[in-house]
Amino acid sequence: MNFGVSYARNEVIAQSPPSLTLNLTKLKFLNSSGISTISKFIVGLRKQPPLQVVVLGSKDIPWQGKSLKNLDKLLPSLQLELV
Amino acid sequence: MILASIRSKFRLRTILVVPFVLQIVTAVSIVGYLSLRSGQQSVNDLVSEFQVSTAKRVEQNIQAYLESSQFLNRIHAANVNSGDLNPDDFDQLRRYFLNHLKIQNQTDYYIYANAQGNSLGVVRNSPDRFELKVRDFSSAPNRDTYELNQTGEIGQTIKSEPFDPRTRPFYQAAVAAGKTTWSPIFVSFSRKILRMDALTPLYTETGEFRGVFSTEVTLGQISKFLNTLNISPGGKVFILERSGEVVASSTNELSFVKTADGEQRLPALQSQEAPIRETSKQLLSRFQSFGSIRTPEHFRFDLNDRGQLVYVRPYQDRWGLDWLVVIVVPESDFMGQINANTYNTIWLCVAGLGLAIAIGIFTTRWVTRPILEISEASAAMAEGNIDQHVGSSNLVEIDCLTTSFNRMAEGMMQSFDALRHSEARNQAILNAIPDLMVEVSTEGIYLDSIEAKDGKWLACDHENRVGKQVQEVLPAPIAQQYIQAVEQVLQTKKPLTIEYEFQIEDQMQTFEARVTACRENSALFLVRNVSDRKQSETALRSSEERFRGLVSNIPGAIYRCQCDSDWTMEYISDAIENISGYPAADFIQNQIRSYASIIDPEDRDVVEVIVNHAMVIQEPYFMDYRILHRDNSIRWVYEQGQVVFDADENPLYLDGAIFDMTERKQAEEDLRIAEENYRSIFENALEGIFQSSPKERFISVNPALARIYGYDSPTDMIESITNIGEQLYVDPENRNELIELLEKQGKVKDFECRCYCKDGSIIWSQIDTRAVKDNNGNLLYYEGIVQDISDRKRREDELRRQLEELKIEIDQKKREKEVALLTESSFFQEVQQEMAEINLDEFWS
Repeated sequence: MNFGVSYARNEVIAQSPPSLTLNLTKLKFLNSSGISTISKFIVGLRKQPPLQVVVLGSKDIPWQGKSLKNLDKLLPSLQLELV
Repeated sequence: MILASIRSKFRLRTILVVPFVLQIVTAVSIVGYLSLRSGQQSVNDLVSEFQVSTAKRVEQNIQAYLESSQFLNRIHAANVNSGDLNPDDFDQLRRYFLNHLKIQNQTDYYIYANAQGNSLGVVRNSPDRFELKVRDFSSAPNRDTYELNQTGEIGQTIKSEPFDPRTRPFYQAAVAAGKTTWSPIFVSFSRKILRMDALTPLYTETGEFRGVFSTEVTLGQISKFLNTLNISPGGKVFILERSGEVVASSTNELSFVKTADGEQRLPALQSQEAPIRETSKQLLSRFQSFGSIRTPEHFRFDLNDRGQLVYVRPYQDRWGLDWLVVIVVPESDFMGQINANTYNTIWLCVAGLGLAIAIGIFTTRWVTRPILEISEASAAMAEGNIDQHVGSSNLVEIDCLTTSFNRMAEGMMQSFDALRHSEARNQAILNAIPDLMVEVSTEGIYLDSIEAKDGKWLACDHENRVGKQVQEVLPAPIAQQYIQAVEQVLQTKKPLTIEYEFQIEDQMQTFEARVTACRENSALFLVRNVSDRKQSETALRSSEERFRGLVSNIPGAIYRCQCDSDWTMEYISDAIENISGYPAADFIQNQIRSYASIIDPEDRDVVEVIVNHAMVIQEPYFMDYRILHRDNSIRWVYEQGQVVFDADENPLYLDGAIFDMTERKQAEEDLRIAEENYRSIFENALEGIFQSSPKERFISVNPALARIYGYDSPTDMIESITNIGEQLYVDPENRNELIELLEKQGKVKDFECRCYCKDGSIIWSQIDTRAVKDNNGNLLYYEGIVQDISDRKRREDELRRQLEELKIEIDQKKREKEVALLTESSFFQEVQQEMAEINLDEFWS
């Protein structure tokens, strides 16, 4: 998994897009490893030049409203949008 | 007995009233008695004085009266002596006597009697009637009685009776006395009076008896005088001769009595007047005879239960008279008023006493009513009825008392309420305490005992314990422990816990006694059988030891922390010291540092996010992150845990374990690097490298292999070839041969065969392969290296060089060795031989 995270991060760095959207609206369940991966991915973007990270979540999925809001601790500029 | 009676109990009312009444009675009685006694004494003194003065007065009067009579005789005698009177000249004498009688009232009767037996007497019967009594030679032996007028002329003869004066007592008395004297007292028959004569004898110059002058003394005159004295209503005065015959008295009783023999003098003992008679009896009884009374005497006697005060005084004169003047006064005459006063006093006293008693009772009731109320209230309180109130009193002190009592009662009520609550609470506490409770004195005696709720384990019956020595109930060492504990808690005033064991019914039981000071010389023991607890503790301890052993043997740190903002650590096993370099105690309750503080700052937020997420989804969490070791090195840890929730799904703890995975991480990194290296080799190798499944498909191929067989990419090759034996091998038998060899030998080296490329061309391939099996010997896949030996076959040199390069790239030494082996092998020799025999032109064509 770490390879995946590093890879994804490296890909993002390589492409250096202006913004990045993580669409989790279909993610009904996320275990510990999953949140760990997402967290490490987001933390990896801290040192990058200004990059607007948007996390899309679903209000209908209870854990998202409660858990995803913590992600802004990892990256203050992160925007959480619950739709 | 007296003490006993004093100690017996009295009612307050009795105590207050009885002495009060007794005092009043005593005072009144004493005052009444003293007043009576004093009255009596005064009366007695007064009466005595009165009697004495009366007696003296009587004496003086008698004396004056009697002396007058004697004086008259002496006048007669003086006239005779002077020659003025010749007593024997009866005419002269008659006139003389008459004239004398006329001018004085002292006496009514003069007599002269001479030695010749002649006599002349003139008597006054009434103020103007006189009688002449003559006995002369002419009338002798008779005496003639004539009327006599005031001029002295003799009238008619009244009577003539025989009479010889010389036989008469008066004459004989005078002769006997030879001097002026008194005649005996006698009753005058003719005149019916009691009389006595003053007698003066006449003597001739030669000393011969010539005659006697007699002046009548009427004793009735004395009685009259005595009658006038008016001593007291019942007071009597009487005069006695020493013979006991009455001379005169203040009574109306005649001083003579008529008897058969004529008038006789009245003996006082026969007087009709009780005072005279009884007084005379008293005199006789007291003095034996009337003659023995020589001095004035006072005495008292009762007559008909009435006190009589008697004064007797001897009266004597120089002419031989010796009488007793007796004054009798009934006490009542003087005591009447005093007695009346005494009665009044008594009645007043009784009335006063009654009033005093009434007032006393009233006052006492007034005073005692509140006291009695208090007493009754106290008694009621003593019987348990504490709610008492006593009315106020007008007496300040009593009111103060009642107020105090009421306050006390209220205080007691409150205290009792508090006590009742306290008792209820204490009882509840006692009921709630399952222990055996005993009170033990410093001497080691059971003073009290409250049975344990489950007393089966006790060594002694409840009833048998109290009063016994501890040594009788418990083994000596434990008893000694008990006594020492009592002394210690009494000394230190601090509770104490002792523990001891002894055997009950073949089982060693453990007891715990909490000891606390109870009274000044006793302590309270709460004894509990803690055998079960001990066993539990032992079991728990061993369990904990087991747990600790287990935990300590786990390479990871086991922890439990609270779900607060600081993740306060409740427990963490000692393994954390190996992991972080800090002792576990540092983290317990976050005393020195929190575990979060040693998490690498870059990972700290991630850890928090992961744990929070686990809390949300209520699933275990797994994570790896870095911590800062005490030696400032960075360590990788792996943490696995889960959130513990309560019944309401509130998070309570995080339970988990932390493992040091620095080495594993390093190994992973090494592996990653190695893998990258191998991948690089795999990717960049000139030999074809493959993995194929027993189902005749490639699992992976490297770019070199794809290139060897003319495919665009490894993926193209993997997807294109679905049956290796059929699609790749020119001669499928080779494939079967290879598989058989692999099944037999497990590996096949330098297997050469011809194969199709993608474009259908055929190349020579040299295959080194082996079967990869699991631990159970099941075939997993085949792996191997494929070389295009077409060139080798074409150019040995080129082949050697390629082999060289390949050997360097993959594993220099290994390859060298392999190449050495290869070159030295017979196979290589054969190949060489074969290659030497091959016609290269034919081969390529």
